[in-house]
Amino acid sequence: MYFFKRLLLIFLLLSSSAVAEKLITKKLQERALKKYGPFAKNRFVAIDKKLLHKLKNANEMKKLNAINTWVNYIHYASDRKLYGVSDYWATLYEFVGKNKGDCEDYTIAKYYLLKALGIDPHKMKFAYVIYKNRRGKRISHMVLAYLKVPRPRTKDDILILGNNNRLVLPASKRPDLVKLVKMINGDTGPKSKKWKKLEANMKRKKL
Amino acid sequence: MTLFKQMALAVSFIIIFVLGSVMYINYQSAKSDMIEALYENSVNNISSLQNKLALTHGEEADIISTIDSEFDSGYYRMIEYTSADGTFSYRQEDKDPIEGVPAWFIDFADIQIKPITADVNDGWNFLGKVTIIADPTSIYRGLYKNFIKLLYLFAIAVALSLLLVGVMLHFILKPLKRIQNQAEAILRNEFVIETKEPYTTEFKEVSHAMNAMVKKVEEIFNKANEAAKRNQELLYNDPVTKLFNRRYLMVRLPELLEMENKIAGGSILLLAIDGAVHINEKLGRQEGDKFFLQFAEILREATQAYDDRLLARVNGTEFTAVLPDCEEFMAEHIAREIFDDFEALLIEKELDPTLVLINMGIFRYHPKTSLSEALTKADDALTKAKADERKQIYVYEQNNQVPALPKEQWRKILEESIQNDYLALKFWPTLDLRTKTINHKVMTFTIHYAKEKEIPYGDFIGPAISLGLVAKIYLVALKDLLAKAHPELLNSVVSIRLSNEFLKDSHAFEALQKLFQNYSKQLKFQLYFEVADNFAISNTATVKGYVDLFKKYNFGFGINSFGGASGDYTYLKELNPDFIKADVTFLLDQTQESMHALEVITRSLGIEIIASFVKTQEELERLLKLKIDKIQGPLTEKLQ
Repeated sequence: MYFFKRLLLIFLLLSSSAVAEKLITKKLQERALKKYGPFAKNRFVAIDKKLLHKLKNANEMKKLNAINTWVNYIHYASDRKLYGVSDYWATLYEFVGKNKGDCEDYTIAKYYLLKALGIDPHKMKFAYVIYKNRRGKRISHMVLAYLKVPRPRTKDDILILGNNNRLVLPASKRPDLVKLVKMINGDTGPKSKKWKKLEANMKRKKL
Repeated sequence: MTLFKQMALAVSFIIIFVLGSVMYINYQSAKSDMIEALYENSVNNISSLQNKLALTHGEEADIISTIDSEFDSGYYRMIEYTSADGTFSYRQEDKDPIEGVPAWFIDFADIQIKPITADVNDGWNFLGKVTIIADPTSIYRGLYKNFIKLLYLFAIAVALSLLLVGVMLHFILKPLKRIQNQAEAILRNEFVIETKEPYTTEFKEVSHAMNAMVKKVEEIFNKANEAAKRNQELLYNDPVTKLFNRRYLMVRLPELLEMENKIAGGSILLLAIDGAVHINEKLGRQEGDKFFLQFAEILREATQAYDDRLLARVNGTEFTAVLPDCEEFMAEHIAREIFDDFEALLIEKELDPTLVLINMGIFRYHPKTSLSEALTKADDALTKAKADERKQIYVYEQNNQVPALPKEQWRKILEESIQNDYLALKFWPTLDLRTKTINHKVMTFTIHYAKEKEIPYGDFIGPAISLGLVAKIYLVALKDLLAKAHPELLNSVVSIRLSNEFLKDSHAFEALQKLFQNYSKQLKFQLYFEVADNFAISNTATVKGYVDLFKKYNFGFGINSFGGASGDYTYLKELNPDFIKADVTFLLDQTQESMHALEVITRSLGIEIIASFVKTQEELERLLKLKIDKIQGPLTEKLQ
């Protein structure tokens, strides 16, 4: 009896670690099918098959562009509309599942997908910026910043992955981002309350 | 509640109170320390937030972005900014419930974090106000962990100290337990002297006092016993031969005649010695007495096989031997033996056998024989023996003997009755003269054999004894009493007389034990078992075994046919009966001194006296004068 218990425990540990490493699992796809319908499931299948699998061996620029383009297909909606609160950091799964989200959700999704594709997370920063729209209104915004080199000297060394522009451009080519307020690390930096919560939600694949 | 429990409870309360207070103080100081630390941290935070917001120059998007980034990368419950003119305000707030701590604890701890407010200035320009509330989650978590730890500590500390207190109290109060045991023993009328001296002064004194008391009571008992013995001898014994006297014979004979045994009845032997004048002349007064003593010895020896015998010297030259369970021919055999020994004694004493003669009359009696009939018929036989010079032993001729049922027929009746339970239980009342109520009933049983034929106890018990079926038949009757419902007995006291034959049967004890095991719990009345006095005297150890069994199942125990045959009441001390039943004639025959001694003995042992066979109102009044207020017998039914 004891032996079987141990065997079962080892099996569970192995299987759970195998599952934890994969960003998109079969089980998740089934859950998405139940909660959001066949299209949601297809989106996850597409991420798994078309993005993650095909881009596995592509170069970094190609990865950045493909992910940016793909994620930007998702529609914009405010947190208040989606979750009923002023500010909510959705998981990749909630975002893709709902097919809707705000600027933070785009940034988070891109971050996790690129990380899964093997991009060094230290190179990716969550940037709080001020964005000036076409009518000249200043808006608080968030984008994913990719550092080409560890210590960037000019705006050219930083690539911006935002949801207002479908291209991945260096910061120097983005005059609409008038000010950088703050840059924080992803899950590699000091863990704030928000990050802890997000990580926990990502781990249990909150849909 | 015992002293041990009270003390343990008091000490436990103190321990729990002290430990609880320590825990409370510990918890409270941890709480205030944590809140203070969080406050200090918040002051630092608001200072840096003030600086960052100053850099926005009041741009709304910048303020929002700054607050968002600050809120996202830190630990806040709320950040709020309001511009000086009140036209713009922005607020970030975490409304999620606190995780990792149970809800009851959040209610219990109830931590109030006060908001901190600071002004935001751009140079000399007053931009607005920022307010922050720090996140108390860490305090809740820390306090909860602390709380659980304290709780465990508290539980362990309480358990350990209570254990310690228990052990200590047990040690300290041990002598008290012994004193309690002694007190209980005294209540059970056992005389226990506590030899171990308690360490605690108060207990020591109590122990000494109780020992002294026990000794005094024992002394009283012993003195009364001595007095009773002396009185008994004076009252009932012939001083020369130490045989019983006529008085005792008359008191005891009715009971002996009714005694149940194998053959239903027994034999009475009257012996008369002629030539007392010659004996006294020849031997002198002293030697003459010795002659009679030797003759008494002959009598004792010849009848020693009969446990229930009664030997009495009725007057100077006449003797009576009552031999229950002794058949006619056996009595004749015994008489012949006595005769031979008597002849030998005459030769030894060089007495003239033509002048000193012995004549004996024998009468075979049955349970229904009355006292006068028995004595007259035995005397008749003796007269015939005296008249006949050639024949010294005469047996009374029974002309019209009732033909008895053959043994095999009895066996059939009894075995069928046992098998099919043809027994019917009967209950006779005992009257309490003080309360005028009947709450004590005596059980006996009859056999309902065939439809109309009811065989009374007295008729079948003899054959049952000789067939060895007494134990079995009693067990059936007892099972009837214990296992079946008897609504008429609800809350009353029932007593059963156990036959000597039952008590003698070696299997009966185990069967009784099993019966008690199965049925004693559901009884709705108090049950007493009675044992005959003479049996209790000669088989004290056996009866003691039964008494212990009765006590184990909370049954009472009593002695009936109390006759004071020995005059020594120490067996009462050992058996410790709840009551003794004595024939009314016996009780009324006692002298004042012997009654007093009996009273002292029964009082000191907590024994109740019940008078049986009470027939007349006069007897009843005399009993009341003797302070005996429980009676049985024909009068009870009349009074009822």
